[in-house]
Amino acid sequence: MITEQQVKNAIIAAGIDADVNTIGPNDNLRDHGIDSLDFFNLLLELEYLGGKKVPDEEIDKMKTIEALIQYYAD
Amino acid sequence: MIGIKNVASFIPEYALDNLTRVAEFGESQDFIEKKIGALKLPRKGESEETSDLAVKAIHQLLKSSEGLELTSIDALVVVTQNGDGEGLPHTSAIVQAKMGLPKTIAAFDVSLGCSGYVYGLHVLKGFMESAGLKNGVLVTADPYSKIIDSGDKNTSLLFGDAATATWLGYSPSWLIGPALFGTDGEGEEALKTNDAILTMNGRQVFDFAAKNIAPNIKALLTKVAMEEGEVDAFCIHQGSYAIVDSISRRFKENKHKFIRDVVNTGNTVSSSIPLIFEKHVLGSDLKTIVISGFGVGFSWATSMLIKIPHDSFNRGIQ
Repeated sequence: MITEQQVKNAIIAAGIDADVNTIGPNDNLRDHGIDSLDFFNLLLELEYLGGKKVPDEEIDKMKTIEALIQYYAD
Repeated sequence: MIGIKNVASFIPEYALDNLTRVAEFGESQDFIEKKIGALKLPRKGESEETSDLAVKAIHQLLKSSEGLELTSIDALVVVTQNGDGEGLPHTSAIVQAKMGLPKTIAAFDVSLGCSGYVYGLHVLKGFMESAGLKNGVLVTADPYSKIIDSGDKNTSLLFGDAATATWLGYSPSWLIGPALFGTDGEGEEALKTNDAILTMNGRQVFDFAAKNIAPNIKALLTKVAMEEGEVDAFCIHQGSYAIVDSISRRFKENKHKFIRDVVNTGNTVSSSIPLIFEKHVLGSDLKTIVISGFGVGFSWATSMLIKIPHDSFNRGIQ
C-alpha cells in the first residue's frame, strides 16, 4: 500500500518538473505536464516503493494518483 | 600496450527537424527539448550505404591522425546490425575494397547495437594483441534510418545516422579497461526488427536501462577500487536525455559529470559514445572516463578509459 504523499514524493524523486502541491488525487497527471517519459520514471520509483511493477497493459488506466494508490492497494 | 590513439566521425549534413515534426505525434516542443534532447536527426543519403558512412569516418580519422596511413591499417572491425545490402557479405569487407585497404587486413563485423562500441574496443584490442597487429580501426556505423517507420512515434523522433572511427595501436593516449559486460536475452521483444522495420517497447527499454546501468557502473568502480568522485566524466550511451538523466540521478554528488549531448545527432546507436568522446573528452583535461553502452538484446557493457600522461612513455608504457 502506498499513500498520496508517497506518490508525490515519487514524482519528486523521479526528477519530474511538476508542482506536486497543485496535483489533486483525481487530476489527470498529463494535465500537470507529466509526459510519457516522466511516467516511465514515476512507475520505476513506485515499483521500488511498492515492490511490484505496473504491467504494460495496465498503464493506460494509471492516469491519476488515486488510480496508482488503488493499484498498489490490491 | 594497445589503446586508443584517436577518434573521428562522420555526421551526414542533411537532418530532419524534430521541432517541426513533433506536433504530428501529439507531443510538445518541450518534450523534444527536455526529454528526447534531439532537435536534429541526421540522415544518410537515399543511395548511401552503411559502408559509405564507414569510409567517410575512416577518411576523417586518417586526416586527423598523424602517423596513421591507409597502408598501415592491419585490422578493421565494423560494429553494425544494419550492414550493406542484406548483411552478406560483411560490411567490413566492402569497406576494405572501397578504401583500397591492404588485402592482408583482418576485417570482420561485430553484430551489436548500443553496447557495440565498448565491446568493439575490447574485441579489437584483444584480437590485435593476440595476433600481433599494430594498427586497428574500430568503426561504428549503424544507420537506423534504414529500418525506421517514419510514422512510429516510439522510434521516429529518436534515432539519427552517424559513423565513427577509432584508431587502436601502441603508444596510445588512452588505456582501455577493465570492463564489465552483461546480457539478458529476455529483452529480445523490447527492441527488434519485424519485416525489416524496427519496433520498440519504450517502457521496457527504459526500465532495463534505468535499472541495470547505474549498478553496472558502480560494480565496475568497485572492481577497480575507485570512488565515483575520482571519475572525471561518464560517457554513457545517449539513448535520450530522459534515459541519461534517469541513470545519472543514481549518482547524486556526481550527476553533473554525465555528458549529455544528442542535440544535433539523436540516438546514433553504437556511435553515440565515440561521438561524445571525440567532442567532449579528446583535447580536454579529463583523464578518467567511464564509458557505458546498453540497448538491443538486452546487452550492456561498461569500461574505463584512462588517459596516459605523456611522460608515461618514458616509463615503459609502450
